[in-house]
Amino acid sequence: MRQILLIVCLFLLLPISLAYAQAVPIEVQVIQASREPSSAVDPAIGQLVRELQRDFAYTNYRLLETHRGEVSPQSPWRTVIAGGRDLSVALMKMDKGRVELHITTPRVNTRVSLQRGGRPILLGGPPHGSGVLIMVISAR
Amino acid sequence: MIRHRGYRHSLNAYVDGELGPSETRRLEEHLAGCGECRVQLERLQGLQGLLRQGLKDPAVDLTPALWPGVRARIESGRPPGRVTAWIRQIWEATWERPRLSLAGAAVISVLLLSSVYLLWETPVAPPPRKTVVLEPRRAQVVVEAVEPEPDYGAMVLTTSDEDEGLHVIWVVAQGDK
Repeated sequence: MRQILLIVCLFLLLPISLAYAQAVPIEVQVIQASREPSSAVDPAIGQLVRELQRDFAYTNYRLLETHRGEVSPQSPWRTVIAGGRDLSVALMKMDKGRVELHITTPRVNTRVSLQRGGRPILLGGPPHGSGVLIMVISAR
Repeated sequence: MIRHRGYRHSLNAYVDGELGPSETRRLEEHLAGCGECRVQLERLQGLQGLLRQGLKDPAVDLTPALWPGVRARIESGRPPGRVTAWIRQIWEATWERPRLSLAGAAVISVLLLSSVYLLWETPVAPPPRKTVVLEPRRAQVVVEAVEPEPDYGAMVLTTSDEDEGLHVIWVVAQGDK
């Protein structure tokens, strides 16, 4: 009897484990870039800021928020970032360490292909306070 | 002298038995009194005897002189090799079948002409080079599509970087461009 129950439990857990295996962790860092005097840079975005400083004229980069979630083929991930803006990420495709994501923000929808654990995609431009927002979205 | 010439002409017919009775009697009367013609008659009769004996059994005179040479050649000769025997068989077979010989000659001619044509028309190809297929390196970030909302514009920027630049989708209001 116990063996039968164990087998039934395993069968019930199987779809959950499969769904978990297909889940892709997503991380979103929300940065405010401004022309205010430079201040200490958060170590979490130190490397990124150095790269941005090469091509952008902003002098100050400040990490406002970090959001983490998971997306799977059946369930997109939604969150609210600075300024009450909705951000939605949906998993469109997953193949050989790459994921294709559909990202929806208040002003732009985009579809990007990312290497898992690789470089992020940056969405920037929305005004926020004295500067603009930059959303750094990566797949783990 | 003239008489001897006439009788000598008759001697050949006499030896062959072709003279008539009267001519035979007259020649024999002459031979009885002419030693020179008798000598000539004896020569002709001896030569005729040799010819008759040779025609009856030519091997008796000819074979002893030829056989030693033939035997020496046979004894010194080697049996033909397999290739030689094979070629000889083909040669004999084709020689005995003229149609087969003609067909073979036609086939060989067609092959030769085809080879000449191909060598003449086909350009000499360069030696094959070793080809290395490089799989294109796909960027870590690929922007598949960008759809800005109305009244907004978007641009995709790639920052310079030694390894791979940052991909930035920058959204601006239409009036801010």
